[in-house]
Amino acid sequence: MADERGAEAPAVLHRPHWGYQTSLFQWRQPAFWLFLVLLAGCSVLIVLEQAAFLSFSPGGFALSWLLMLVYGLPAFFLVYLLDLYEREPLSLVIAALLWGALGATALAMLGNTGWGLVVQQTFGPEFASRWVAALTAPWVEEVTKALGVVFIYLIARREIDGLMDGFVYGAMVGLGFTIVEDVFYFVGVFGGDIGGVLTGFYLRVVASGLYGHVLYTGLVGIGIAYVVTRKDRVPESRRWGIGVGLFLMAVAAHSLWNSPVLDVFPEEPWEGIDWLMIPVATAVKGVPLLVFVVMMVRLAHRREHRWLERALVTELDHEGLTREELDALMEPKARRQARRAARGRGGPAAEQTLRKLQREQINLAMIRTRIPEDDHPDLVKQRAYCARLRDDFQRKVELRSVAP
Amino acid sequence: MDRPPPPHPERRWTPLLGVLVVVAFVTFGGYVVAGPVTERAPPGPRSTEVLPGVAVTLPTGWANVGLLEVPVGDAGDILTGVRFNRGTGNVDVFSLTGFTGTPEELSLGYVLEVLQPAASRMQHSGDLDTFITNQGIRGARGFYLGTFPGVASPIEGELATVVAPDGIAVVLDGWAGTGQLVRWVEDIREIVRTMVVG
Repeated sequence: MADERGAEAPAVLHRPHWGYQTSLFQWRQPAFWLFLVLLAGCSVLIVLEQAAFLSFSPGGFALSWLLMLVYGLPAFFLVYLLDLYEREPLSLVIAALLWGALGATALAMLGNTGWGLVVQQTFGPEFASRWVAALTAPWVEEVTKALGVVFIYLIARREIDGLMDGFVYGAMVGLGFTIVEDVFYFVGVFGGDIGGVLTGFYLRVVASGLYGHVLYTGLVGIGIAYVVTRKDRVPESRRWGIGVGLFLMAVAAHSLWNSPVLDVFPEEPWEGIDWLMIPVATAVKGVPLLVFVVMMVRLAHRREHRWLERALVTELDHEGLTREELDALMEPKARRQARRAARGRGGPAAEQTLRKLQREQINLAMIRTRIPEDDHPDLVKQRAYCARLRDDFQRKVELRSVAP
Repeated sequence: MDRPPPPHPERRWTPLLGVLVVVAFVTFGGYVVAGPVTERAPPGPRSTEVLPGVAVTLPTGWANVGLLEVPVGDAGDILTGVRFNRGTGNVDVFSLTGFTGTPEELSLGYVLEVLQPAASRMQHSGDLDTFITNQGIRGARGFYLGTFPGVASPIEGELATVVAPDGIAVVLDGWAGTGQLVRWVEDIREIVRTMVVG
């Protein structure tokens, strides 16, 4: 029986190469080459800086990177998985991370110094020592980080097709930036010994890790995505107004963070309760933006949810999707429940096939939104592919049910 | 498969020009704007005596910021000097009289008695290079990297020491934030080379 069914099944269930997911490696795109050249040049600066830190304090340097991995890896997956319906191509996501870590940091290092000189020479060293971080770094750093999202768009324009995409790429740039910047602070500012690195980690990650560059650039990314994805629905002035407005909001939040305004940090040296007051002090400046960005992300999610539903409902009349599958697809929790149930009925192989089917049905929705013709060959192929996956899933469930 | 048409060739290049302009402005614009501001500052005097028995010639753009007083060791002694600045570069000059040691000993003493007590963390080059000033006085040159409380970034410094035959000893501590010293090192060495002691 099992052999007979195996003989009926298609030999291999290849995913069609739709080409709708674009990788970083667009050899014919000038933007790709400019990105590479700038990234390579900036990498030299950052590697030299990191080498100086390594020779300065090898133990502190290693601990700094270890701690930043402990923070960075979960943060990476959290941001990556936030895009519930359409995960971005990994090569582009990593490119965004690298731009933040190498490109934006190096350009900002040069830019901050140059514009810092202007502030120092215009207003004097006393004023500059208090205000230069609030007046120059927010502009310089938000612009250099935003360029990472702009590059992603110029290299793979179709990959930024929703506000969540902008947030994901922006947050990844911010995450790369914050990792390298924190290592700089741990070794360069907090002294680089074990105590200094741990103090730096507490201040900059434990007490402040929820705020900062990930939020700022995530917000800027949403703004860029708004400008480039609403071309046919929103007047140009409004699109740019909102995009620039979100950028200015990120700059303002960054500037507030760096400024002496609302500074309720306890006086050094810190003892006892002071250490507990530090997260309160960072929250005073960081929580308002965090709340705003969470609201923006939820709005972007709802928008994507509506987009997905509208796209998939039109597919109910075809072979690629059933009503039951649609209901499960619309909520991540329902999707997970369906996969758990599949595992119970058909084992891990059935669960894996259902996971694949759900992913391909999301791809079906993506293709649906981009192709107006109902009988376009790409749509027909994707529907057939989903139907084959469903058959394969049902076979695996049935095989399990008849197994001794 | 029907792929979407590639962007119009013009649209592939125009945004890149915009990106390059933004990169150039954000990265280097500050130096361009700060340049004229620096030039408005009065140029440093030619070969001026800045400390008893020590005259320096400042390259263009460098300015005398003022007198410095730094603690020496734990005994509460104070070393008086003068600071010169241009942009992110600084040179602190100190002089002693009646010094009987070598430039190497002077360099080590400055590191141990002045820099290390002030630093949170510090490293200095063990081996020193030697040089001869235009005046014919032998000197020693070393490098250090350190973090100092209240200073936002690590400091790189090039330390030059000379001891004149009449016992006047001079320390020239040229320093800048990490990555910036290379921009000023030629100026710093010119100040050292053209210095007149005694």
